[in-house]
Amino acid sequence: MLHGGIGIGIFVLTMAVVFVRPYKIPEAAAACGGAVLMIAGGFISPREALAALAGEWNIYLFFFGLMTVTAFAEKAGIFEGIAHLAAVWGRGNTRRLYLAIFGVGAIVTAFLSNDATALILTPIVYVLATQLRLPVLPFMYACTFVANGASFILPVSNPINILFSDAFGNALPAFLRYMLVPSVLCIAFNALAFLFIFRRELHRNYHQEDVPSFTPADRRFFNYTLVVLGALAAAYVAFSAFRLPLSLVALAAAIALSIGAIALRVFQWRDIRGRISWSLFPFITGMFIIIRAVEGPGITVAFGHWLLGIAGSHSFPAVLLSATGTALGANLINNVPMALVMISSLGKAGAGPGLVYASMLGADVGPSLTVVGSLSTIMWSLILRRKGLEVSSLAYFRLGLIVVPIIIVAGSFLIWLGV
Amino acid sequence: MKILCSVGLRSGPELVARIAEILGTGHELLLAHVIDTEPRRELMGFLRGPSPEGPRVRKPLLGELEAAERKSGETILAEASEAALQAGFSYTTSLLQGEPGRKLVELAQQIQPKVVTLFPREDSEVGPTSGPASIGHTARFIIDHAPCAVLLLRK
Repeated sequence: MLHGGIGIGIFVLTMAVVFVRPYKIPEAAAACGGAVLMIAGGFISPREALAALAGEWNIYLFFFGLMTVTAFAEKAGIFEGIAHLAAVWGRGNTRRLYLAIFGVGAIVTAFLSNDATALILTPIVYVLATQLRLPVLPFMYACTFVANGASFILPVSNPINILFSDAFGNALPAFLRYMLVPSVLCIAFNALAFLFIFRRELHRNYHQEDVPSFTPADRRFFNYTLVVLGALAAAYVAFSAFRLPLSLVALAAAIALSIGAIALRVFQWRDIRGRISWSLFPFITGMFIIIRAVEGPGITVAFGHWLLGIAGSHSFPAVLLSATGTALGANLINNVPMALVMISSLGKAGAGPGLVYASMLGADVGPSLTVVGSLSTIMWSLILRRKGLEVSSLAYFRLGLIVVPIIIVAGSFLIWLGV
Repeated sequence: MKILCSVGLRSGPELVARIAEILGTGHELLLAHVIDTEPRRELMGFLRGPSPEGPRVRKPLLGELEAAERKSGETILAEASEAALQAGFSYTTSLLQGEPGRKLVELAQQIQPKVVTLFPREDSEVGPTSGPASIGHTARFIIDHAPCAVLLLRK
């Protein structure tokens, strides 16, 4: 009992360090530190830890392949190209441009993941809005929100989905059955809600002649990258349909892009290396071990059974609870560890697909509630506000409070209907 | 008479025209545009935020954002300058960065204009035309803190 309590204590302490980041301790260091403590305390043996990590090879390779592909796409100018297309398509109408940005964001998210939209497309759209002399904040919010809202279109739209799919073996038809309609409706609702909220900012049109011209740095590599991305999108769908490891597709695309870049003499490893977030790997490694260790005392199993107890025969309240709980948890301890906790809980308790997909919805959309899916930013914002400084993170939080609960409830309802 | 003009994203020519209509020409205009740095700060905060992935901000990104903002600011002032020239005003321009209300008040304290002119909000064609909500927070701050007369130009 005491031993189990200590294990839970290590888990809580690790999450607290990830959440508060005392002395600016990196999240990856906190996760790895927690994992070392778990192994040292005998909560998981080194062999079990290694076996757990080896079982997650698809996730590691997928993350690496996806980030490499995204880095090449960014280098080729694909993101600038599609932002330019959106501005041309807008034909001077700001609201039309705004919808185009939502559409572009949804497509990028669907095939290159939410991170590509949030971290790469957002600054490009920021520059575009500035050049068109439009208020930038509504466009920034559009990118960051659609990155989360569109992240349950396909299994590859959010790495969290891969975690769930690997654990529960969800095939594409089942994924689409539960998630496609909620996803499309949530994006549409999000776009319309923002068009209304920002109606004043989006009222004035832009001059078509202000749209900056777009010429890729290397036209041949740009075209080549487009072809590879097209093939990647088709392969993602095919591999998902047959439950084949998606990491193989992402890796193949990364290799194809590397070969193309070398052949066309645009390859610079330093450039690509700098665009890959290496710290993600130790972070998820630490989290995998910690979550596997806390499975021992049976906490996650008990949580899963408690959820199932409420669920009865897949009742709507249980689906809603699963989505809401995961969304709130994602804002407390970040969505990656929260997803791992839910996967462990639901998996061990033998939960049905309704609860699993609802949890995925919560982990995907939940981070829209706060700037980075973390309450720490909000606390920081509140402290600054008390000092008389207006911080727009609060505006983000307010938007999240309007949009996220509605998406969670509506999405849960649609998932429940699909059960 | 020295007039400080708060030039918004697209309102420069219209602002100059309204000044000419109400105060007449022959004045000395200081056309000032402030690049609001809050959205950029917000964006960088979001990109660098306490995410498990850690900082993923490309080093040249900040420079690219600043360059786009500066270029846009220069275009905005060029448009307003053109309008001032055509209306027969003598003018100077000032491109600033920071919180617009505070920066304009600081500039007014520095150059001591006779009057600060501005529209109630960035886009006053939409929203209420009277009452407290008709005045945006930048205009409100300038009205509250300017060391001189403030001319609020309603549509």
